Amino acid sequence: MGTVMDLVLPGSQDAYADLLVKEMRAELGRIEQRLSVYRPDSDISVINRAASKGMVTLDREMAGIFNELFLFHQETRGFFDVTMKPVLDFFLEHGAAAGAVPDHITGAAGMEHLRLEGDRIRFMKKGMQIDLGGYGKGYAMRKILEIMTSKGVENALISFGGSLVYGLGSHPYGNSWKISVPVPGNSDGLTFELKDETLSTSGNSLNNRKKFGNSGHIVNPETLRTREGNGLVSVTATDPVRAEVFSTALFSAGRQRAMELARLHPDLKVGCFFV
Amino acid sequence: METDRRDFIRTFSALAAAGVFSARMPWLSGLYAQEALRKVKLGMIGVGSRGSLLLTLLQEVPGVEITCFCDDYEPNFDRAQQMIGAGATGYTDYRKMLDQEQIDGVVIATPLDLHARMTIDALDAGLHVFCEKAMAKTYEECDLMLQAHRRNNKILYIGHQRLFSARTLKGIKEIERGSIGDVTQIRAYWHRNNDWRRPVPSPELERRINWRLYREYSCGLMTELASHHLQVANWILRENPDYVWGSGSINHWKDGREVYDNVNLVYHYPSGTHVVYDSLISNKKYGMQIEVQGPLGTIELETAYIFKEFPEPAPGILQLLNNIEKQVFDVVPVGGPTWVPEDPSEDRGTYLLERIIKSDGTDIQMASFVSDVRNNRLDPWLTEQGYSSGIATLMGYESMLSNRIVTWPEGLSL
Repeated sequence: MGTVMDLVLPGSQDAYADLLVKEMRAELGRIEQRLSVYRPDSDISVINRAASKGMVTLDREMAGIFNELFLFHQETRGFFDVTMKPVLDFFLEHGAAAGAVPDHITGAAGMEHLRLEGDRIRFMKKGMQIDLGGYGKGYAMRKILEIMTSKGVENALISFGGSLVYGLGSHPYGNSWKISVPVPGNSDGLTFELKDETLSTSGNSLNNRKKFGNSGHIVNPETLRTREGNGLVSVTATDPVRAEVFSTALFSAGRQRAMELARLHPDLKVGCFFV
Repeated sequence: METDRRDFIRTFSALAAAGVFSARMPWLSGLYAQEALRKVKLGMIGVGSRGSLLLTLLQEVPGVEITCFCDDYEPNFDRAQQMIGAGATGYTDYRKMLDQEQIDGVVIATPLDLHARMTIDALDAGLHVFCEKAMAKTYEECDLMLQAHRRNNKILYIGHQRLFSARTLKGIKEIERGSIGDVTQIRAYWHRNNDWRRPVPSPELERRINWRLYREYSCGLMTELASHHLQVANWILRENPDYVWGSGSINHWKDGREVYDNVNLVYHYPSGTHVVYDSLISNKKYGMQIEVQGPLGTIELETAYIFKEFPEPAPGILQLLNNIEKQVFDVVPVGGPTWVPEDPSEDRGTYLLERIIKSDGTDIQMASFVSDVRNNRLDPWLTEQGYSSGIATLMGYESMLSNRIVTWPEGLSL
């Protein structure tokens, strides 16, 4: 997933923590092998190669994931869209100032060209590619939480590279986990208190610019341009997937559309910063 | 240059005194004291290329007087006389020098086969001795040298300057702190790309000048290069190898030399750790390095770089851990757009020292020798480092010659 997991488990025995981490590591490896586009032999890479040639049958877990992708696509009014990879690749290759995206790329972008029939999936346009960035980490966090809950862990803080943080229970000396997201010009940053909640942050930062260059790494599905410039959106939700999906969708939508969309989902706490 | 070096020696001493290096490096304590500088009188035995470098370094150490020197090769003799000046007496026979001169110690930088005889004679004459590495050419000679050092209760330094190199010292302190976990393997190598020859003015001088190439005088790459890295390996592991197997050959410089131009060895230590060593003089791409490996990281000792196996926790997480330890509940800056960690495989390493230090330790070693002679301060462990490296070096050489596994020799004094 191209990130690191930090886990803070207050007061647990080393041996016990080691066992827990071992189990988590195995589960994360399994998920990576299913969902990562960076692995040519992952299940999602297999789908990316095969689904434009014909229907691909999904196993139960993958069918559940695809169903959820469509639900979130609707809930975010299309701002969450897992088919933007070819557009992003175009900007990463040609830079933010690149001119019009060629028709064969724009034509293949959009989840409306993805046909899900029961447990079978097919790409209706040539060149379509699915990238589960904006979903996969949330899914992994959900699975990590299942492990923790099944082992009776009550308090922990789990972070996937800071962009997805789950506060389980509370800090040993408080009644929640108090987390901030640094933003320029505000020394306190955006602050959140998490108690059995996820905080997901999407945006452009100096740090990820090292990796993605100046073109940004999140595509607005409406305009089919990447979001440039500094800015970020933080969203809290009980479900890690929901938090991650919405932070990605709201950032890609831009300030105006993000506020409209956020108003439709009062269960989410949203903090944002746009330049 | 001279002032620079003196400053550096002072800085180094101050660092040592301030405990920048490990408490397990007591031989550095000789440098702490800014004692009144009673003149130390030294004689040089062998002033060839290495010997004249040592002479230069000694001349920059405060409170040293080189009152005599010895060399039986005329160009070396003349150069030394010029370097030291008319005040020093020159000899071509070291025994005469030992008999006639009132000195505190000698510095020996002669071909390997002469080390034992000269060192033992000097120690028996009541002098402190600095002898270049490797210690000697046979196990027996090494042992006799150790016995002479003990019998006469005189200082015996073997020229392993990494014991005094800031880079090695800092790296070893880092290893002792557990920064790379338990040491599970040491990989060391020394690669050059040249014929390892010195120019010979007339053919009959070939064997004298290029003594490193002939088995009568030298064990080649083992004694002249590998002994340094084996000393460091023994130091890191705090034990001596129990057996070694190796293989060497002459596959490139087929010019009449007798010593191998490439050597490959695996040393086994009682703890189960291996030192994998190779040296060659037909390719220099990888240069020289000691890679100390453990489950948490790698330290490259020659350059003082550390490479972590796993990325450090994000800064906000560290703050959270500190808060929990101090029982503080506060906001921590954990969140943000994807924080991209450094990929450990792309890690270019972290330099362990605060500033670039070019010295390989030889200058500090000479200063330390002078200081120890002045204070009559003996460090048996330091001598034993030279000894165990010498033995390990010869074990590897024997293994290559005999094509069999060679164990630590029995009946030695250590």
